[in-house]
Amino acid sequence: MTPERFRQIVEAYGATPQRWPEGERTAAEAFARTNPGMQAMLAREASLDSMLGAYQVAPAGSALVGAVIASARRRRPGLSWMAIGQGFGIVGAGLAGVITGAFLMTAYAPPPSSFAEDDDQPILTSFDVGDSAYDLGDDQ
Amino acid sequence: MSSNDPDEALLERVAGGDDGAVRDLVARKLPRLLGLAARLLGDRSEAEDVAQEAFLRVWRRAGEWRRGEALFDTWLHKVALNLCLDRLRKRREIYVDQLPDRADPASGADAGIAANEQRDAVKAAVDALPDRQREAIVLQYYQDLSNVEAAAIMGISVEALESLLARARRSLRASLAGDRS
Repeated sequence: MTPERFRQIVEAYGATPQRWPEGERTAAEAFARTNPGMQAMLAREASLDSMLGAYQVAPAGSALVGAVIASARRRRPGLSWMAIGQGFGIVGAGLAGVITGAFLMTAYAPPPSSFAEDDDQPILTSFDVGDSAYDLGDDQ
Repeated sequence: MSSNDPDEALLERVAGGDDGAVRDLVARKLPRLLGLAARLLGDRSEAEDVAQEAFLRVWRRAGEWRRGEALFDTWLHKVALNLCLDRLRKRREIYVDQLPDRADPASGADAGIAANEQRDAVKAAVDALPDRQREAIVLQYYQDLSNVEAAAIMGISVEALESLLARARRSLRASLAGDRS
């Protein structure tokens, strides 16, 4: 470790050894211990480090955290085989119910006068469809 | 390299549709992304937008993550940095003839430096740095990245990073000393 290299390290990375380049840290720390003349420069950079530390960013609010988590649910990148299996299970049960219901309706129920009421029923699927508002298309 | 990536296992769980892993990843990375974007853009609202956009890319790519090519945290910082640079570029295109690029670091600071005033003074000084110097100091100092990681994210050599850092620190020291006088 030369005095010039030590000066470069401290002027670039500051006075905290943990921020110094990993490969040179031990040598630089030893250099600092054995060269008291470097203390003034270290003190000057430590003062700047301390001032810079005052610039903290407020943590994310719950609304932002919730929005980010919700965006994962909307744009799930892949489904595990277990999840897919569960999905097919739900769909399969639904299909079985539809077929059975259709058979019973055909066999026993009078013909309906209107299907309008069915429009109000939610359509349930096993997959969470992506929200177009979050679909940014291909990157760049 | 992949075996050293502390985020890899969590990312695999995210790709598998694990809601708990999503929450863990958000808790682990959102503060870092927000800090990065807020300090690069100097604007909280825009920083939150960038953080959300970066996470959208995570959700989309989690299942395609390729081991061994880069640390996930490095990739995520690169994504967020590019999103910030896009916004800074658009800002300049819009305001180039109307507003100064950066606030005068001395304009909003009083002589006395209480905690909030000191924070504001440092923010103004960081905002006033040239873009590349600000990127370097934010990645190295505030994001606690190694010099190798920060240089890789910026696409420059470690020597170039050190030069940017040294110039940034000199400017910051001068700005903050001016605020104190």
